Amino acid sequence: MLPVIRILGFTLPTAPFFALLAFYVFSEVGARVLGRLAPDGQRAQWQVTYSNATLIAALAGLIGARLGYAARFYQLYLETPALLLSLRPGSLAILPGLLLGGSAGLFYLVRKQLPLTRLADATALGVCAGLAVLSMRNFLTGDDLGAATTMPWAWEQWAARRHPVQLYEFVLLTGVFVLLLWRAYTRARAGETFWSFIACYSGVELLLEGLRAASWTWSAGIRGVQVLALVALLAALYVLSFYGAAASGIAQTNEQSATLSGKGSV
Amino acid sequence: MTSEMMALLTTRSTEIRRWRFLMTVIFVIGVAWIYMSRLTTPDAAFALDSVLEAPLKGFLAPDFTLSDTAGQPVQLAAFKGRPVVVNFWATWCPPCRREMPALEGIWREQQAKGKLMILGVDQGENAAAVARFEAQIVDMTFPVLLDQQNSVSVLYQVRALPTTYFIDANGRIRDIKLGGMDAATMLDGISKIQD
Repeated sequence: MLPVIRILGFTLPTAPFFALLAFYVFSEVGARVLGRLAPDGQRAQWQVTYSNATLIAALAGLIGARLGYAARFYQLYLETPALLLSLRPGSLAILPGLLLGGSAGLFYLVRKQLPLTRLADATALGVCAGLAVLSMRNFLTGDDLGAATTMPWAWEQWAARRHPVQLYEFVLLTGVFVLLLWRAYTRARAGETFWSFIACYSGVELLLEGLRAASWTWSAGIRGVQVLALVALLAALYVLSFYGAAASGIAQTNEQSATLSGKGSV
Repeated sequence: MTSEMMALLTTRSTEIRRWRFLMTVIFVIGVAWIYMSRLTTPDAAFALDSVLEAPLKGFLAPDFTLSDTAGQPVQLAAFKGRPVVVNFWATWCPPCRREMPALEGIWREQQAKGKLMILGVDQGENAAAVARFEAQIVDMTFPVLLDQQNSVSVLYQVRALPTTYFIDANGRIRDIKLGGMDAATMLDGISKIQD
């Protein structure tokens, strides 16, 4: 377990460092993918717009996180308003930060009139890459422990040999990212990459949640995350079925057009 | 409707049927896996009655005994039944120096209620160093323990100062804060160990 890591003489807390790294990866990957998906002549503009949006989202997210945290301890912050500007990373509330940051970024992108389907595709790939980084963070900090097992590749952690679930997640998410990136650049239609990511990530969580040592459970020990993942997976596959049908229809139309052209030339 | 349109519709409906079949298969496999992997017995490490000690959230806090600045032995287990904040620090550590007045302030507020214990575990120093710190920064009225051999910091895998463990009344670690804290961060940790 590595609660801190040492880089070039600096001691950095592992969890916040990897959280920042994940956000950077998400931002960079999303911008590059969006640039590749943009029409010719607009690549640089779309990339810059996406990068600006993530910066705006980060700033708004920090403000939202600090205000959300201050709302919990409002009396303390009323007595000492200067604490609102404190650089202590611990006094940040995640959910309000995500809501405000996400809303601000999305509002900016919509105002710039970028197509939502392509934005969703690029963001999905950015999120996938960011989640892979976070799974590595969990491996280093010992969070998200795996269940005890007798598998030969199990590793010793906290008085038991356990599934290295965090590594499984890292490998699977990396594979999903590579596959979806290839499809996005070659043949996926607008929006298809987004739904494919939802399906793949839901499948990964459906599988891996069953290998974790502790879970949020419903009655009879059923893991709630697995149920939600299965619902999301089926919903994504339902949407993808229409993409598949449209693609097969287009393929058949192209085939018929090619056949007719051949007849005409004869 | 032309024959081409009919063929197109047939192809599309065939494709959609394939996807529906895939969804059905995945539904069946998914439900089976959810049932097989359900959590019938909590992992021994996370069970409420687990006696496994580890410096990790959810586990029992490793017990230790150290002497305070007056030379009296103090044992962590003696405070079972009360939430405990264990703060690893040192007089030379800048964020420790900045956070100590806030920690003392919270202790004075909470002491009257008698529901919280704060233990300062000083790293690698003697009582004289702590006394000099108190003269310069703040007089600490909560117990300050001397971990002169750093044995407890090794037990708790402390790698940076300050590190603060928030332990509930059952002796279980509920939160760990790395780095200097302000009053709001301390209250956040305390809220997780108090009813």
